[in-house]
Amino acid sequence: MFSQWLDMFQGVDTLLESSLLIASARIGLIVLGALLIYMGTKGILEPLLMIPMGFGMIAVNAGVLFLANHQPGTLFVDPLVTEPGQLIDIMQVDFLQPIYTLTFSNGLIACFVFMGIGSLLDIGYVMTRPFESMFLALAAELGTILTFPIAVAMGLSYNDAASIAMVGGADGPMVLYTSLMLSKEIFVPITVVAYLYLGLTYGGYPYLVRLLVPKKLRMIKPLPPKKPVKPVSAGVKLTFATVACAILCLLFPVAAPLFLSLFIGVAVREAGLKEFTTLLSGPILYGATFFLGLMLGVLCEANTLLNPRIFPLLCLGILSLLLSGIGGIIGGYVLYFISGKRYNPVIGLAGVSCVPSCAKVAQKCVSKDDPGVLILPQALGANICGVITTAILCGIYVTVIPKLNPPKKTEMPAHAKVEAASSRVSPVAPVLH
Amino acid sequence: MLTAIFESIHIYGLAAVISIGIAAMIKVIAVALTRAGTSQP
Repeated sequence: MFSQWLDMFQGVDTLLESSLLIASARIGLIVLGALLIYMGTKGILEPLLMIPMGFGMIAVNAGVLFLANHQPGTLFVDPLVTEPGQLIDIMQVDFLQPIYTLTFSNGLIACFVFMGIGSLLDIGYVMTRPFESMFLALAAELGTILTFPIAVAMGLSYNDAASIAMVGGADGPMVLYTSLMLSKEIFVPITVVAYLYLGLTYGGYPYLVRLLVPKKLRMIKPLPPKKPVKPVSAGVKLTFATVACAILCLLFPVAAPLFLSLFIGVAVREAGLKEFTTLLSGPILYGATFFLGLMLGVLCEANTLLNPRIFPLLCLGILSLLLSGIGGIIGGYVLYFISGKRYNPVIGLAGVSCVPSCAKVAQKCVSKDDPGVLILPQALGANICGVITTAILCGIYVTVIPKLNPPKKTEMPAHAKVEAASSRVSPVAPVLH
Repeated sequence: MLTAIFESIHIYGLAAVISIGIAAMIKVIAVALTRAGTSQP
C-alpha cells in the first residue's frame, strides 16, 4: 500500500531511495532556491536573475522521477546528450532542452545579454575621459589576473583556472562564454558560482569601500573640467563602435560573437534605431536574463553540485571578485595621488565591469557620506571600460590558454571545441550528471 | 606555477597594451570627428 502510494508521488520516492548525501543535498538545494527567491525579492541579490534561478533550483531538485531502467532523472534538461538522434528525442521530452541546446551551450544567450547591455550603454562617458576610465578598468582586472596562477597552484588545469579567474571580470555572460570555450566539463558550476557572487557585489562591495577608503576621501567632490566639455555626438560614438568591433574581432576571432553583440547594441542605440533599441534593451535582454536564470537553476541538480571540484571554485570565485574590487580601489588611489589628492578613490571600484551595479555601488557609498558628491558619470565611464577590458581578457584567455595545454588523447582540442560549439551538436562532457 | 605567473603577466601586459590602444583610438576618433564637424560651414 505504502509502496503504491510512493509510486504515485515519485518525487518523494526518489528522495527516499537515494543515498543520504544526495537526499540531503536535494533538500538543501530546495531550501537554497527558496532563500535565493527571498533574497531576490528583498533586493539583497539581483531579483531578475535570482527569482527564476531559485524556482528552477527548487523544481529540478524536487521533481525527480524514475525514467527508463528505474534511473532517477528529471523532465527539464539533460546536458549529457551528444548524439544528434538522441538529442532530437530528448528535445521532445525535456521542455528546456531546446533552449539549452540552441541558446545556452553555444553561448547565444550570453550574446543576447550583451546585445541588450550594449544598447543600454552610453559610451559618451568613456569618450570624454578614455585614458582615465581605461586605467581604472585595467586596475580592476587584478582578480582576473592574480586568480589564474593561484588556481593553477591549487591544482586546476590552465583552462579551468582561466575560466574561474574570469569571475574577477564580474561579467556573467563573459564567464559563461569563457567556461563554455575552455572548460565545458565544469561550465555549469563556474557559471552558477559567478552569478551567485555577482549578485553579492551589490551587498558586499560597500563594506570593502568602507574598509579601504577613509570617510574624508570618500567625500572628495570631482573637480569641474578645465574647459567646458562638449557632448559627444552619436556619429563619433558610432564610429568608435564600428572601428573597435572590427579591430577586436580581427585580434580575437574566437571572442568575435561577444564583440559583435556588444558593439551592435551600442551601434543600434547611436544610429537612432528606436525599434531595434527597444527590442534589444527590452524583450531580448530581459528574455535572455529570464531564461539564463531559469536554466542556471535547473542545472543546479544535487549530483552536479556535489562534484568535489566545486569547493575550490567557490573559494577562487570570491577571491577573484575581492581582488578585482581591491585592484579598482588601488587604481582610484593612484589617480588620487596623481591628481594632487583631488580624485575620489571610490570611483576606482566602478572599474569592476558589473554594469551598472558597480557604478551604482560607488555612487551609493559616497552619497551615504555626502549626498552632494556626484561621481556617477566618471564611475559609468570606468564601468563601461570594464566591460571592454573584460571582453579583451576573455578574448586573450580563450585564444592563448589552449595553446599552453598540449591536447591530450581524451580531451577535445580547443579548435575542435570551437568548431563543436559552432556546430549544432552539443559537445557536453559527461562529468556533470 | 611559474609558467602560470609568467603567463598572467604576459596576458595582463597584452590586455593593457590593447586597452590603452583602444583608449588612444577613442581619443583620436573623438578629436578628429569633432574637428571635422566644427570645420564644416
